[in-house]
Amino acid sequence: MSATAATASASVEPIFNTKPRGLWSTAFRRLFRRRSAIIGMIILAALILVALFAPVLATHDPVKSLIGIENVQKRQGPCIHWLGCPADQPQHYFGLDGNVRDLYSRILFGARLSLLVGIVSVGFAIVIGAFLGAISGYVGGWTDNLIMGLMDIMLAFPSLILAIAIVTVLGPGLINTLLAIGIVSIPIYARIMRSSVLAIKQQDYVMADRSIGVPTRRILFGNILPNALTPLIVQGTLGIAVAILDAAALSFLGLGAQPPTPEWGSMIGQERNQVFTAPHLIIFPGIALILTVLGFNLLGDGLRDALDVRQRS
Amino acid sequence: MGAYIIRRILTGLLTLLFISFVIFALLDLAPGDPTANLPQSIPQEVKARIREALGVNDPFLMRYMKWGQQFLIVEPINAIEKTTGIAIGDSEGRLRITSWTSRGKPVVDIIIERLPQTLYVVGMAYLLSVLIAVPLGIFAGYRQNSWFDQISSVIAVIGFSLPTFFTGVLVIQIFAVWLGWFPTLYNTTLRVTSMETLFQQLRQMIMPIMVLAFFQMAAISRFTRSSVIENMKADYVRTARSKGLRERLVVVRHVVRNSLIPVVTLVALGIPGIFGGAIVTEQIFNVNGIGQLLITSLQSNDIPVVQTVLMIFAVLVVIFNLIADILYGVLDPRIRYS
Repeated sequence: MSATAATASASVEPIFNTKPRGLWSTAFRRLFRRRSAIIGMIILAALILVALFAPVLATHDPVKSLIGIENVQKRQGPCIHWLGCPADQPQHYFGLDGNVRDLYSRILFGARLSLLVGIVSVGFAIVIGAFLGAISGYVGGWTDNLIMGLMDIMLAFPSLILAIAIVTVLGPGLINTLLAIGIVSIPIYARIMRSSVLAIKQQDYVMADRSIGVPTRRILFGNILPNALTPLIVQGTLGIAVAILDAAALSFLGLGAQPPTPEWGSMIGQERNQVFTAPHLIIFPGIALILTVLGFNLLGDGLRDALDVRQRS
Repeated sequence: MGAYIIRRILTGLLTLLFISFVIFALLDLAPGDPTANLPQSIPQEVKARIREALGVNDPFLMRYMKWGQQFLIVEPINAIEKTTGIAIGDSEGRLRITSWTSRGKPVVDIIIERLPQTLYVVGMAYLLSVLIAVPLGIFAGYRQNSWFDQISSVIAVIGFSLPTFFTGVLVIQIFAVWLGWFPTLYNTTLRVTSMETLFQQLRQMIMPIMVLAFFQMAAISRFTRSSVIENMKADYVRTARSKGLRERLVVVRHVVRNSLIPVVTLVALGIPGIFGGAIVTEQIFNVNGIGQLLITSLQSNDIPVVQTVLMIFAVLVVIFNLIADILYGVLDPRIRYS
């Protein structure tokens, strides 16, 4: 705030000559002023690049065993030539896993899965949740009570336990994990959307629209949704972090992605008893997972501060 | 207040009824034929009783009623019999919810065996995290943007981002393998009979507690912090200051007291949530609690155990929600009158 005050006092031009700034450009300025948000964005940008270019960056096939192809042993540690690994040994940046697969390539491809799980499940939850919340808030009455009662029940359950219950019914697997985590996340967005709708419904401009007979659908999409967007975006970013963690936990427990899928959680789960003999098999997927989740958490925190309407002015 | 509590209890019961139906229906739909694949180790007569208890050939609603009766009436009666030693009716003839593995043992008996381990670990972890996180949050909020606040913010964000299954494995490696402070394997057969075994039990519980507590701490301290910050700006705090109250009194009596109201409810609401974390933690540390039971039963398709464990979680969720609601009403009169 002090920066804008300083420029205002330094410049002599009349106030109505300054260009008006919209919500989004203000938000972006704020976002770029926060160190943690920038770190988050850098991590996520790198991650997205890795996910996009995984086939280019990978040195080996992520699911193919190197038995009989290279003279290597299972769970062999990292071997990088310019770090002093003898040149006659095949190079593996992060070492090999229990099935003699290149860990580095597996982790790169794992980035794709984690991003996919996080974004798709949260996207699914936002669409359904916002829809339910909008109906609930706009229609009110017993529809509202029914929908929100159901959402409250779901919200009360620990997300991981609920996800486990859903996966039990659907059967283990990546797609079902995605679905389970998506379903589990619906209530938060429904609640946010509902409270936004309730707040905005009372505004004069919505009243005006209603009184001149604008159709409900256009009021919902034209007036209410844009105004409810910021809390959904903030919660969605933080929600992706939770979704990725939960998905990895399910895979760790053997209920999510099945082998040989290169999923970070299942990579840790499969080799967790090898931490004494081959710590690289735990540490590298673990770091990858932490960085990803951290990236979304930092960006989400930054977005919350940048977009928070209460804090502005 | 009475009407408020009664209304909450009724909603809670209704919720439980709904959840029980969903749990039963979902798992009833789950793949896996109930009685076809029962292991050979279960005696024939037990198998027959399992079929009878399930009501295999009955319609869906009938089966649900049977299950409900066993969960709500038969098992509590058995529990009373066991604790008091008084025989009520035909205790042998009652049909109980029976595990499909574990040689056809009644589910509730298995759970009673497992529950103490979970309660110790989860309870201690939660207590520890609340005891550490609340003061941290208060201090960070009171000195907003100080170096202490910033460091604790960074730690909290990292705490949110650390998967327990990763920290757990690392903690085992560091504290059990390299430093040798704690046993690497959780001794599940250990019975606490003397001071020495109690000490052993505590020693092997430290690592799971540490991992669980760290994850919980982040959320609680963040929440406390923002609650304190909000209250620091309140009018009554300014009034207290302007009438010359000592800073300590302002903070303790006005800021902390008011900002802890939402924290208390968060803590009560978070208790079921920590059981979710316990599932993973128990798996890592080989603690034979109900979280581990849930996972092994899922893997062996032991539907009755899964249903019962989930139902117990549901009961816990509803009870703690109720406690949170009532506490909120007790602590903050504005709530119960609205």
